[in-house]
Amino acid sequence: MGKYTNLDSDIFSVFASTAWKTEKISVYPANFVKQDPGAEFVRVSIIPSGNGVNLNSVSGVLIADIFTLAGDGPKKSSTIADRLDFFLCGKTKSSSTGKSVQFFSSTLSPSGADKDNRALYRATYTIPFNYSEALQ
Amino acid sequence: MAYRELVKKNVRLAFRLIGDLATGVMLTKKSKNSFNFSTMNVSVKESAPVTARAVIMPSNKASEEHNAMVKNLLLSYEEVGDINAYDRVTIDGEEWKVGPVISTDSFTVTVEIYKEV
Repeated sequence: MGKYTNLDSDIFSVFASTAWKTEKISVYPANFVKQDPGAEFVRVSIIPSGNGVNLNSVSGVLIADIFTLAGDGPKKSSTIADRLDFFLCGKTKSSSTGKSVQFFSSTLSPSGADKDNRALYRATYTIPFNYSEALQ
Repeated sequence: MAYRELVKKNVRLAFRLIGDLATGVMLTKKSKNSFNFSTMNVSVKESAPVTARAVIMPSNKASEEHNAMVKNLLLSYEEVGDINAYDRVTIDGEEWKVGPVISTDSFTVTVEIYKEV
């Protein structure tokens, strides 16, 4: 697999873990439209837009759009952002094949009512990362 | 007769009276879908295809960066029920994807469908 597929796979493994599943927070990747997503969910986009330390490496940001019920205040989206921080912020995921993803400090910005569903409130959680893979 | 039933009856009648202005289409709808973060695969369960008559309204061909054909379909809600984005429609053996814009008044449904040509 190439670096972009490896990167997706490494980051998505967080959401595939048993520990994350016990959080009971629904997560979907970008470009996937869930049939019945419910009123609270997170949509994750990986944007590998920066340079890495070598040809197999890349840096970027993980953006998690947090959707909660509009009108219910910011507490729920902040709680979900805190849980994302627990799994990502300052963490490094390394594999035995020399691949690693290092996450830095996150930010959370309220985006207001969702454009497709005005009954949902969207807050955007952003966390930069560095992905590195040894050159063969 | 109740007004809702009256409208439904007239929609049925209209789709019958327009004869060959309506085209037979087959709609394949997603009943359930999920994403597996371990394998990065999407799984989709589809319900049995629904055959319906549809009026194909003006089509546009956008060719700025690639050739995409966009059609608008008018269907009877009673025949097709709820439609979701990225369901599939087969017209004359060709498969089209339902786009994100769907409007309905619970008597008729209008959808945009897309295909690369």
